[in-house]
Amino acid sequence: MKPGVAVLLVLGLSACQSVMPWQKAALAQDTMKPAGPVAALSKLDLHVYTSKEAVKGGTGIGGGGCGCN
Amino acid sequence: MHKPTLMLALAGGMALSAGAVNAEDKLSVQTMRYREDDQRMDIDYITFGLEKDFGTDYSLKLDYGYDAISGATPVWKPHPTQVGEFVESRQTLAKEIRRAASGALTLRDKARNEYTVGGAYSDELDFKSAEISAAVIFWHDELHNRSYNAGIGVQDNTAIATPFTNNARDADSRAYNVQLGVTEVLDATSTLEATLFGGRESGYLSNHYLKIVRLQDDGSKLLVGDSRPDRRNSAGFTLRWIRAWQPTFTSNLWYRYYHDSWGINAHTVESKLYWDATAWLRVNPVYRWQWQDRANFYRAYNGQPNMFATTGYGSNDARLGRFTVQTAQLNLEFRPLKQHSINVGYSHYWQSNGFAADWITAGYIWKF
Repeated sequence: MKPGVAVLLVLGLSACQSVMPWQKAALAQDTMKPAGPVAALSKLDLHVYTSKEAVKGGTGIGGGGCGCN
Repeated sequence: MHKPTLMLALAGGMALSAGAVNAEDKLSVQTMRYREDDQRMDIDYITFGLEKDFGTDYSLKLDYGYDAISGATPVWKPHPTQVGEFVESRQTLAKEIRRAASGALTLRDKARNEYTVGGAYSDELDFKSAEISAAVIFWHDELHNRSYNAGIGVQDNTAIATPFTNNARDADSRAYNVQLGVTEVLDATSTLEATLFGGRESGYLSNHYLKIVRLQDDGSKLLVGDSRPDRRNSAGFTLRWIRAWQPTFTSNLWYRYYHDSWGINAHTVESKLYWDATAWLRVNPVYRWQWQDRANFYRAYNGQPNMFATTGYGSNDARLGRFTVQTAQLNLEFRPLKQHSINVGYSHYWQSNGFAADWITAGYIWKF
């Protein structure tokens, strides 16, 4: 899949039903956060992955550096 | 191979999501013990975090981390008895301390669009890094069912020369990262996020500890420093689908495609499940799978050939190799009181090249 297709896929979902604010109780749960309810755990995992693999990016902007030698 | 370290320096995690949830002030401490299977590297890590809202328009995140690393890293060394030959050996490292701090400030306007600026700094004996970043989130509609986000980060790194590094002088590099994304509320229980990301690194991108063996025209062998291109461009995209199947059961699926100018392609899939088993216990199993191709100048220590020509790039760094990697993880979150939670977790990580590691985590969060 070409990268742009991913974004177009989401944009193409504009026909999705409109969700009203009072219908968003489930969406407001902390488990609906991308990094989960304990965001620090995802960051800890990411430190391992970054130091052991060649792949980086797509996990947000910011974060400082890593010697990872 | 590599001296594994855990990247400290946390960004003030810019929540690039339309699924933004109720804000709460938080203080947290998280600890981690990381051990590699062959006892090569041990890392103990602790991080402290603060999230504080000032009214409804400003939010501040601060993190401070500290880790202690000990162990040994594989390197080429002269053969003990055969002149002109080299063998894979290990270089014992002194216990190394890394400290890092980061912060991010978010401002919200009347339409609840968000503007975040952040900074991060980390240093250790042989490396230091400083980064600034900025991100925005714009809502597409008044109902907040779609948002667009964009972010950019600029990072300056310095590989500091020591008596054990290949370089006698410090060597710098710079990295730019950008990300564009859109998040859509699909229905009352699910969201979908898509992002495009890109990166550009330039400067000294080699590993200042690792060495390679170059085979000379006359048949002799020469031990020299790891040598990589001084530029690396990367790009990819991600998709994340989160769904609350039940009030007590949520899934979070993530996919990433990655490509860079060193010839590395990768696919990553991660699945997280959250199950509120009781009012005070949450169970969170995680499974992650990734396949990555090798860099076009990589050769494995135990491969044939494992040496390089007299000129050109070359590295034996296993991180640049072709392998599949999996992580299996189980986290438990105990919430005996609404404002207090304790989390513990265990992870097993293994690569198809034989490398494996385990880590345990424990943390405490106070919401106030």
